Amino acid sequence: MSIATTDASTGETYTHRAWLDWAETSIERLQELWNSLDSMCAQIGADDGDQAQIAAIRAWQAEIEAVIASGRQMVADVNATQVPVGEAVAAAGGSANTPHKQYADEARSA
Amino acid sequence: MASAPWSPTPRASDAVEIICILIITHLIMRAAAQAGADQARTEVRRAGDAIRRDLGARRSAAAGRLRSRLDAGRDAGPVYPLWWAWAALRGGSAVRRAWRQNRRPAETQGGRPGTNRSTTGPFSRIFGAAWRGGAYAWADARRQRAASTGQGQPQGTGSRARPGGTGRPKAVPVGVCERCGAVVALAALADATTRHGRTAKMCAACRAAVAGERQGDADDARPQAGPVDDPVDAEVVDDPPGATPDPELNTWDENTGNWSGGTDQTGVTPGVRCIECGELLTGMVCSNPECRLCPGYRDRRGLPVATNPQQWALPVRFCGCGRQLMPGTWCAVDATNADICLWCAQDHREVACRPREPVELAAIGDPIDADGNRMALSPDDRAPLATEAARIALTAAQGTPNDSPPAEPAGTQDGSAAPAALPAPTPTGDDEDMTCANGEVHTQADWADQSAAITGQLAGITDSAENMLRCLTAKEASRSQMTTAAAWADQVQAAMGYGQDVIADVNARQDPYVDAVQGAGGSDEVARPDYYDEM
Repeated sequence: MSIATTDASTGETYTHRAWLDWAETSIERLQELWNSLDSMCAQIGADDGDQAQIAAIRAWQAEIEAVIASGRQMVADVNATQVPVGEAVAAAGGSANTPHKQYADEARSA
Repeated sequence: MASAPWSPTPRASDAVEIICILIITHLIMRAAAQAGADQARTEVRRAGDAIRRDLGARRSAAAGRLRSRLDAGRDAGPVYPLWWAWAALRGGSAVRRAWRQNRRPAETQGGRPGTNRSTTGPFSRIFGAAWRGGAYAWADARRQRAASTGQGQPQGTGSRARPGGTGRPKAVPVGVCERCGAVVALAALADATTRHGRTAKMCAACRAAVAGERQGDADDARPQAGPVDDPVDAEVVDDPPGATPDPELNTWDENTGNWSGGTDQTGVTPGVRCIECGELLTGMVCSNPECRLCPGYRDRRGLPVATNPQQWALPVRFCGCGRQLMPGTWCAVDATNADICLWCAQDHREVACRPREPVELAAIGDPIDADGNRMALSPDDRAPLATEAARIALTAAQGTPNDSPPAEPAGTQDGSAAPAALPAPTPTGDDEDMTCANGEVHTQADWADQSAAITGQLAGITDSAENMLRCLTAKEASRSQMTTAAAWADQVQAAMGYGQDVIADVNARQDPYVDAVQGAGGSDEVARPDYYDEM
C-alpha cells in the first residue's frame, strides 16, 4: 500500500462506485475484526482464561455484528435508489463513474 | 445595483456587518482546519500502516528493530537515530523515483480540489478535506443568512442590495419549546398540559404529540365496553400498617429511571428480592437474619460470617447494565463469573447466581479491621488468594448448568472451545508475528496490544467516514444516502466506544490479578514483565 494512492481508507468518495468501494471495504474490515475477536475468544477459552473476558468479547462481537448487518442494509438501501438511476445514465451513454449529484438529480426528477 | 451613499460617520449597520463577516470567516477557517486535521490524522495512521508493512517486507536487521519498536508502541520517530537513517533512505528513493517517472494523469488534470481523480496524494487529500470543510461552512452560513432574511435563495451582496431596498426585515421574536428544546417563533409557542399534568410552553409539534399521549392515556383508563363481572366475590380489606408491598405492583419507570408504584415507607427496596432466600431487600441489602447474605447473619457459634462484603474495601465496580455495585449486592453469574447487581440477577433467576466467596473478595479488595482501617495485603499474601479465587470461579462454572449458546466457548473448559463455525484466522503472511488479525491471546499484554489495534482500526473507519461524508456533501449527494451513511458511521463509532468500555472493564478486572502474580514473581506465561515495566 502506498500512501500516495487513494483507496477506501482515505474516504474520498466522489463517485458512487468509490462510495461502494468504501462501504464494502469498511464492512470487510469490520468482518475481519469480528473474526479476530472470535479467534481471541477461542484462544482465551482454550487457555482456560477468564470467562468474564470471553463474555465481554462476545458482547463486543455482537455489537460489531449488528454494525456489519446495518452496513449491508445501508448499501442495499442506497443501491436500491441509485443503481436504477446509474443504469439509466449508463444506458444513455453516461459515464461509468457518475458523480453523486447526477444520481441525486435523476432521482429527484424520476 | 443601488448602493448606500458614502457617509463619513460610521453607521451601526456597518459595524454589525463587519462583526458578522469576522464571525463567518472564523467559522469557515475553523471548519477548514478541523476537517484538515481529521484527514491528516487519517493519513498519519495510514502512513503508519504503510511504514509498518514496508518494514515487515524487508529483511534487514534495522528494519526489524524499527518494526519491533513500532509494534511495541515504543519510540521509533525522530528521537530515534535509526528513524533518520530510514527516512533519508526512503526520501532518497522517493526523490529518485519521482525524478525518473512522468507525471500522472491525475497530476496533469489541474483544477481545484474536488475534481474526480482516481489517485491523489496525502497532502492533496488533506487540502481537499480542508477545502470541503470550509466550503460547507460557507454554504451553511449563506443558507442560514438566506433563511434569516426570509429569501428563498441566498444573496451574497448584503442586505442593502436586497430587492425592494427596504433594508433589514424586522427580526422575528423566537422562543424555546420547553418539551423538545427547539427554537421556534414565539407566536408558535403556546401553553399545553403534559401527560403528567404539568403546564409548559410547547411548539405545535409537541402540542400535537402531548395531545396524542393524553388521548392514549385516556383510552387506556377508560373501562372496556360491556359489563364485566367481578371474578372475586370477596370483601375488600385494607392492608395493615407496615405490610410488605406486592412487588408485582412495582414497575420500572423509563422516564424517571426509578422504580415506581411501590411504597418506600417501610424501607423496602421495591421489586428486588434476595437471590439467596427470596426475601425483599431493604436498602439493597437482604434483611432476612437467617440468610447468609444478610449482614446480621450469624453462624452456629454466633459469630458474623465473613460473607458480608462490607468487611472488604472493594474497588468501584459496575454491573453489565451500568449500575454501580453497592456493598451487599456482589454476586456472580455462573459460566461468566461477571459481576452482576441484584437488579439484573432478577432476570437471571433461571441461572444459579452465587454470591462471591470471601476469598474472591479478598483477592480483589483489601480487608478492613474492626476499627474500619484498610489492611493492605502483600503480594505474597494476595497471590494464593487470587489462585484460590480462580479455582472457586472455575469450580462454580463447571458445577452449574451452562446457559450460554452452544456455539460460544463460555463455560467449556476443554480444548475444543472454538465454535464449530469459527472461521479461520486471516493469514497475515508472517507466521512469527502476532497481529490483531490472528487473535493469539496468551497473555494480558497480548490482549492489551490486540484490543488497542482493533480499536485503532475502528477509529480508522470512523475517520474515513468523516471524509466520505464531506465528499458526499461536496458532490451534493442525495439526502437519504447521506443520512443513512452518517447513521452507520455513528454506529461504527458507538461500537468503538463500546469496545473501549469492554477493554477498560477487562483490564480493571485482570490487571490487579496480573499485578499480584507479577509481584509474587510470576512466570512469563502470565504476562510479559517488560510490558509492566513500561507501564
